[in-house]
Amino acid sequence: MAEDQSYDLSRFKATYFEECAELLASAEETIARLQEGADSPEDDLNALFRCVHSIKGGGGAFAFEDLVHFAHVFETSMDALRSGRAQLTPHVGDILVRGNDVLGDFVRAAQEGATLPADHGAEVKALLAGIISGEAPPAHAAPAPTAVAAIPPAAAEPGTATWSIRLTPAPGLLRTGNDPLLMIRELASLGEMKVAVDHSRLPALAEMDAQTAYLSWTFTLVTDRGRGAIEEVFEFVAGDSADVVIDQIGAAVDTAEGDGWGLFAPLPPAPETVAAPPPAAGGATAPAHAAPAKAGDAGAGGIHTSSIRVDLDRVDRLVNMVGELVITQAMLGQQASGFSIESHPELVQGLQELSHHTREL
Amino acid sequence: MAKCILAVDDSKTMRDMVSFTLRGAGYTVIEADNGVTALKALVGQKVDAIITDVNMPEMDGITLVRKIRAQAQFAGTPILILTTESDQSKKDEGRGAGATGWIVKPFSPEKLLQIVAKVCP
Repeated sequence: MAEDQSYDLSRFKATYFEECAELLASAEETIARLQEGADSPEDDLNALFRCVHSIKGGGGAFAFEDLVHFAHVFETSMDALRSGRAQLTPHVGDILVRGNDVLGDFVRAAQEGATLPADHGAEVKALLAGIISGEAPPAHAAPAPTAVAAIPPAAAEPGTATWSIRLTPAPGLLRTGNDPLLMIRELASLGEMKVAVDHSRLPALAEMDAQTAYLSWTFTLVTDRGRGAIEEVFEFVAGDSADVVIDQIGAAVDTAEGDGWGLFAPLPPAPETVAAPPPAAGGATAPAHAAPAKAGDAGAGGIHTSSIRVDLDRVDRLVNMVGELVITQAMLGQQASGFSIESHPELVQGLQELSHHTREL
Repeated sequence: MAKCILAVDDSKTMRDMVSFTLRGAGYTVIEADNGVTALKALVGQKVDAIITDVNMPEMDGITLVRKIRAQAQFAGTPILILTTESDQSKKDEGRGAGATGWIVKPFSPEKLLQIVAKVCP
């Protein structure tokens, strides 16, 4: 939270700096574990990310801009490691140690009201940028300071819009002659794009089938082209061969209503719909949570089309049935785990789709 | 009777700030430092809205939203996720999990009160 005339939040600075000291120490221990070959590096990377993220969050509240900027680069480098875009080598471990040291410098400077040189930590920042780009330079290489400039999200030019596009190919997409890479390249040609890949469906190497699509992607695209140009990229696959969700960021689908905050769907009309529900007996009703808006639904209607009242018993039955469905899907998956896709392609593919839909549900 | 808000964040600084702001505006605030403690705090507790951070140990905010939405008694309780400007994927996840809205960090006390009043009139 930023400084405000009505609410003087400076009283919380002492708490923040105490917390920073703990977080920096925790980060140091976590990096040491990672360097020694942690048993669960994913957990440690997540913990390290949270440390830096918390320092950044509080720093933002007090407008410590240099600290926030460095912490943003630092945490983004950890995102690259968590997503597998970069590997945790001994050299990268050393960069993380140096990153934590520089972050500590910024925290101390903020605490003491001191001003660090403008280029303080620039070398480490460039090394962290190398991790983000997946091109962490070897220990002896000179850093490339200019790489840092690409990290903060660029402000959109007038006339441009930012889009979030999620592409989830059906397992059999590749067998239809479609190549996600070609679509991604075409999409990138529309403007400035960032990509996040979801490899959670990727099986172990021994179980992998080269003809099955396991990856899905989320793209953030800044472009002056409209929705039609984006839809055109996926016109041959959207629907049967892939799940494509296109949302304009900050557009009506989010029902954004303010600077820095927004609602995902219109609120229920009556105040009682947000109050604690009555006892479940006797067919009492409770407001149903508005379903997330889908692409294309934006602006389709107001409150009446996005919120309904449903009997609590019906909601309970629905939740129970979904639970039964999940259990059945898990049992089927376990029983069919011995089948290979070569011997039972349709069965395995069907089960994968069932698993995907169940997760979505 | 004062509206009750559950504030969930692993950062004590952020919890203190949120609580200070909300209490100053007349709300009652319950605090939790992660998803697990938040779920415990909700047992037998009526709340009018929930504000949760996303990145937390033990149980993250997205999982927390899913678990809260799975409980019929909280089907209509507004849940706001705290996210960062660049975290569009977290906003998407939050929406998919059943969150009501989002607040970008850092935010001013006025903005916090504005959206809380919006979802919790």
